[in-house]
Amino acid sequence: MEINVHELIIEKAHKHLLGGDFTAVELAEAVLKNAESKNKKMNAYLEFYDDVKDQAEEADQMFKKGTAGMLTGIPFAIKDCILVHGKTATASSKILEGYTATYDATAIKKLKKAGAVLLGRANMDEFAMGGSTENSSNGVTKNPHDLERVPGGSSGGSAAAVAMDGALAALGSDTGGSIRQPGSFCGVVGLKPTYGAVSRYGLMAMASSLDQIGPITKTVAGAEAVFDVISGHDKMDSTSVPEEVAEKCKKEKKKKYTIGVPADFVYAEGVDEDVIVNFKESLQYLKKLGHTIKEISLPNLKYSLAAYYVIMPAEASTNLARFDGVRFGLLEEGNNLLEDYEKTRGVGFGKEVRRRIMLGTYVLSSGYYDAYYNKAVAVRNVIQNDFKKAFKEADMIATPTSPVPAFKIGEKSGDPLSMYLADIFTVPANLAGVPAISVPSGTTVREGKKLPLGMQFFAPHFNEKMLFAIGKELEKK
Amino acid sequence: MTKITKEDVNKLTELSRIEMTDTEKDEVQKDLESILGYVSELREVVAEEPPVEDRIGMLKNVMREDEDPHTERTYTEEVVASAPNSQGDYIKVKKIL
Repeated sequence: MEINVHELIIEKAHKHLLGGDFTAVELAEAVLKNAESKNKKMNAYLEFYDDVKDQAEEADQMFKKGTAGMLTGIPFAIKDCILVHGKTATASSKILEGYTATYDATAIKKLKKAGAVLLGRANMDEFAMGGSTENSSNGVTKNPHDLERVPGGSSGGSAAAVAMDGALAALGSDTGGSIRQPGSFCGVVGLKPTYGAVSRYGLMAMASSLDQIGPITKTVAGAEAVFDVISGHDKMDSTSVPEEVAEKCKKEKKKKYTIGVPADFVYAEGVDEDVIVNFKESLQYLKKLGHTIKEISLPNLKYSLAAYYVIMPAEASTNLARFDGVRFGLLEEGNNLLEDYEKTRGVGFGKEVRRRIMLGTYVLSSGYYDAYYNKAVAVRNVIQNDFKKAFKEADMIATPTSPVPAFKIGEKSGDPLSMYLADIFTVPANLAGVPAISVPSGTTVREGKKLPLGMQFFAPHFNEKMLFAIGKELEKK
Repeated sequence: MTKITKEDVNKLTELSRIEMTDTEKDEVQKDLESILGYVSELREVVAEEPPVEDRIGMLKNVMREDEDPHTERTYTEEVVASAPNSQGDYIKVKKIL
């Protein structure tokens, strides 16, 4: 049977593979061929792996032996900050040029065991710092819906790879919205799991108390299939949560949900009119299906972004101290060891990364620690309490994913603060550690091009299933 | 308004071990001022500092027995190979004394 990569989703591909309509090798070749040809314009992939066929052959063996699962033979794009043993991994940074991963991330190990086929590594903002993929040392990725616009970020390459039918799924990482925002800009589904649900072992750390690996897929069912495989306790990540603890948090399944909307937060200045219109339409649609829409108050949510832009750089400046020209990648030599460090980091880190390292160094330095870092930590707790209260009134919470549709390449790159403001709806989930999903909710037209919009749902800790249930209903809209 | 001086920027580049040109420093000085100006809105929030053990994001040590060591040399070659400068089984750095 001829393979139509545009129409393929994980669930369908699995049925075809199981039914013998095509083999995993044929599927991998078809998707890879399309990915390679689209990538010339899109720059979603930094590299295609040379062992794709071998991986696909192994997947076919699993079908023959009867050990195949939902992800067996499914072609994946992997964000360049997730380690795949023996492959280059640079986090799109010059400082890691030429670095080869010495082990598999746990999420990768699990994908390999499930028989997934890894096609290559995807472009990103350097060290996952950015919301547009413009901060990559390998050049920007284009948005498949409009080549003049950004795909979002930081997992922009992963989202674009899926949206251009260059993979059926991708792994991204989300510290403040880096899976959900590019998902919404590219018209695909993006899930940030509960903090501790997916092991971070083998993910290059940006802000350790906020980072999570998650899937980007064409459908909600696809995201669920990937999540089911990559989640679970891992002793290699001390923040990974044991299954029995996660189980205790899970709420009973309902047919109809109460969806809370933090009105004063959502309908605020700076949120695009079309985004609001689409959001209200989506709420109406869910109401028609029998769900209850309820205005709720999360009074401190508006401080999320400020708290985030203190905590995140503080942790990032600490985590990135390990890149010193001694153990990995680039070395720019000076006259002594100190100069080696300074030159290597000066040449190796891009502008945004330097900015955040310096910001983090500032808020952690004596004299400012209490005013910024301790204050942000206190506010983070206040925000989590807001969520706890809100989840007593509503099963889940909805907001738009991004206050604006995909913006033009270069539009915000000169003004870091305006770029940061685009994270307003996504950062609260990372601060509170709750899971959140972005589901395509429609389009808006800009200069004759249809641009996707996304709706975001937050659920209580470890209630991803609730997000999948509501997401599956919304995607039928 | 949070004021960031040239001296502040010099100190920060020193602390964070990043060599920068004067033009780059001027640019980052402006950026830091505008970002810190924005995050200063945190001061409006009346929040009591939670005790250390209740803070979200505070990591706890997960202790385990020191057991099941991997066989010697399992990872040595690969790990040393990722360093830009090495000799035999050692990663090489400039002398510090």
